[in-house]
Amino acid sequence: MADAETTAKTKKKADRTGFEPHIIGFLCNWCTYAGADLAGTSRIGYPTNIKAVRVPCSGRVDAMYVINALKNGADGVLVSGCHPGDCHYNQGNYYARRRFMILREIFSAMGINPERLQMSWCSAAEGAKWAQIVAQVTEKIRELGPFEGI
Amino acid sequence: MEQLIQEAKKLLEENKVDVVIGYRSSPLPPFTRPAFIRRPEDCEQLVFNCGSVYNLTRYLIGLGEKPAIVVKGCEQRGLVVLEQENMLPRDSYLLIGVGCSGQVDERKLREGGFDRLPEQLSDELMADKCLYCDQHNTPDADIFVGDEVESVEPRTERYAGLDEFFAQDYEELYHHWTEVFSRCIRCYACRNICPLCYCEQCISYVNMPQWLPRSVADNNNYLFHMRRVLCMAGRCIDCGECERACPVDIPLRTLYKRIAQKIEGFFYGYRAGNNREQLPPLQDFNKDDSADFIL
Repeated sequence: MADAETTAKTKKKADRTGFEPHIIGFLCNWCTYAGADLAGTSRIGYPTNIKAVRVPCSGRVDAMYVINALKNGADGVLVSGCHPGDCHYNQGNYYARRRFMILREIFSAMGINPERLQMSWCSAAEGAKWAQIVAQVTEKIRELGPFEGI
Repeated sequence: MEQLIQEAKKLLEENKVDVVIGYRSSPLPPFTRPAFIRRPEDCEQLVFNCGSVYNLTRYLIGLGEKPAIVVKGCEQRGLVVLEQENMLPRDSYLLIGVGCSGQVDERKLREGGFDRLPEQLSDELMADKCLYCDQHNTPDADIFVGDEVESVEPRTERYAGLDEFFAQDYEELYHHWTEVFSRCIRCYACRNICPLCYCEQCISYVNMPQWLPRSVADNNNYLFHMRRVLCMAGRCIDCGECERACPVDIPLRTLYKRIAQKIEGFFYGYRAGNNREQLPPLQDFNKDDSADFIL
């Protein structure tokens, strides 16, 4: 455990040249995950920096998941769900929107750049948009550099 | 506070309640102590003054008896939040309302020695929350005792100085809070005294998975307090008890108030506990919430 932590820390301290951000993506099972699948089957390439975690709904993503991801070595987090009005559970993404609005404010009040937490809406039909979102987020996190907080 | 004693006596004699929760004098004036009065003859002990700083609503959840409780105007908001969260039905207690013209701040008093308290509590010894108080008389009280306090002009802004403080860049803020929280001894006083912390098992005790490691290494204190800010988001009623109970003087309310300020801006002027009908922001949603950060 201690060893793993030390490795993560050393990795984080690596200089920015050749820095490849680790991004954890929490993807809604009903849209973004299928959208990412579509990007794959349509052979649309996108940065491999994102590690996808499939969740039943963006409303399932607890703020602690995000904080824990950052604590354990991620440089950025992307939460992606259905477009407003399209939620499989009708309202999960609305709750998620408020939750992460507030979490971003907590980050900026406590001195973590809120841009490290990104959120997007992406439907199952938007494979190309998904590729574009991942590229955009990766670029943003790359600019911010390695996350050394928490 | 003759009327308070009379009313408490009456409630106990008529068996309307099992216990009256209020304040009684302590060996260290002006401070008082929480009192649990169960016999009518003990009611003489009840007092209410500028040293009745404690938020007694903390005792209500899981009490198991029917209480009547002395509640100041600011603390009544906590009862509203608890009711909205289905933790404490309004008919499970009797609310004894009082007029409060401000409470003494222990830290300000300590700085100048305890003999400094004048007859009338002056602004310089008053708790910060009282300087911008807009709820001197307990609203929604079943029984109101004593005289209503006339509302006075707030002497400071509720969110004074926050915008300037949080204008620092992220790195400075991060170092500031890391340093402040490195003082934290994880006594959990802030959590235990909070009238709104009622989880049977706090997330800071959960072991599998261990969200919040307990050692003070690795900025874990920072993590614990981040979680507390998260717990208080949209719920904090600004009663100031966490800061009063903190043994190492961590300015917790700076963070809680900052988030409250942001929430007031985002969610249509929402302020925790002000309005029974308006749900706490995280229990509710609106289709028109701002979405400008979403890609």
